[in-house]
Amino acid sequence: MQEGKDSMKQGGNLMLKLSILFIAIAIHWLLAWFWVPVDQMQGEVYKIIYLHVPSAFAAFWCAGVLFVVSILSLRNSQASRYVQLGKAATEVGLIFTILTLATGSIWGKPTWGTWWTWDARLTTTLLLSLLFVGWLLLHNSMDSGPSRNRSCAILGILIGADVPIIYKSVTFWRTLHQPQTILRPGGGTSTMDPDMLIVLVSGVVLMVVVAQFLILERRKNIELDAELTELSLNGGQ
Amino acid sequence: MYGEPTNPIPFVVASYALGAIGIFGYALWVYFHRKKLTEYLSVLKSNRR
Repeated sequence: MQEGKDSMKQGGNLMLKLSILFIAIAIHWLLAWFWVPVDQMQGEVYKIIYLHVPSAFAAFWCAGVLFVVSILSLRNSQASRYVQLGKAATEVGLIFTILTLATGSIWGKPTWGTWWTWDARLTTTLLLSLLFVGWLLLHNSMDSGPSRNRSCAILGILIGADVPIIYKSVTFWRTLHQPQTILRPGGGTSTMDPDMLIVLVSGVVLMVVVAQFLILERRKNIELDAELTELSLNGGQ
Repeated sequence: MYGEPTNPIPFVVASYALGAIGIFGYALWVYFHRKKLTEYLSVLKSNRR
């Protein structure tokens, strides 16, 4: 009876936190649509930037979390707990990477005249999404144990290494994608209007917070799932 | 950009709709999955007693 009340309380707490995040995202999107000025060159369509760029940074954050937990899992006896956190980071990272690719593609059609091109930034981001899928397939295809933990850790480190390549791809290879918007190449300051910039930077911070929150909550589900499996295998003993 | 003028609104709406489905959908799935897991766990633990 007490456990039932506890689970209801836990569910209520999670719903409250989710509601706060939903409201914060909704306020940010309303600011992006109705408050920031329209771009002189692109018009209204540039407003996709307020979802596209924060999603990309959230995906980078997830890859960073995966990179750190992968290194920790190689050097720690509690590797399984780090792998659980890595799985949560990979799932959330995959969602944000797909969102980055999808919104970029939708933005590309009216501005570049194409849904997709094999540009360096686009290709390395596609590679990130495929690596995230590969990590999940690897994790699900192996039995739990040191071998799986090590294999996932090595792939996690490779995924983390892709992030600086994606970020610098627009300066390494001058293809179609525009250079960095917030931190200009060569250490220059952004040329964006201050109103546009503040909404963009706050959107990046908000989306990273959302990503981290989703990682932690998803990790809790993975832990509960593992506990449930263990109890079921032991016949409830 | 320099061809036929394109109405930008459907592109912006489609992007944010995808964002809402992706982020909110995943968050709600985590919530309902948690609810199911805690219910199963409490049933399993009460059966054990």
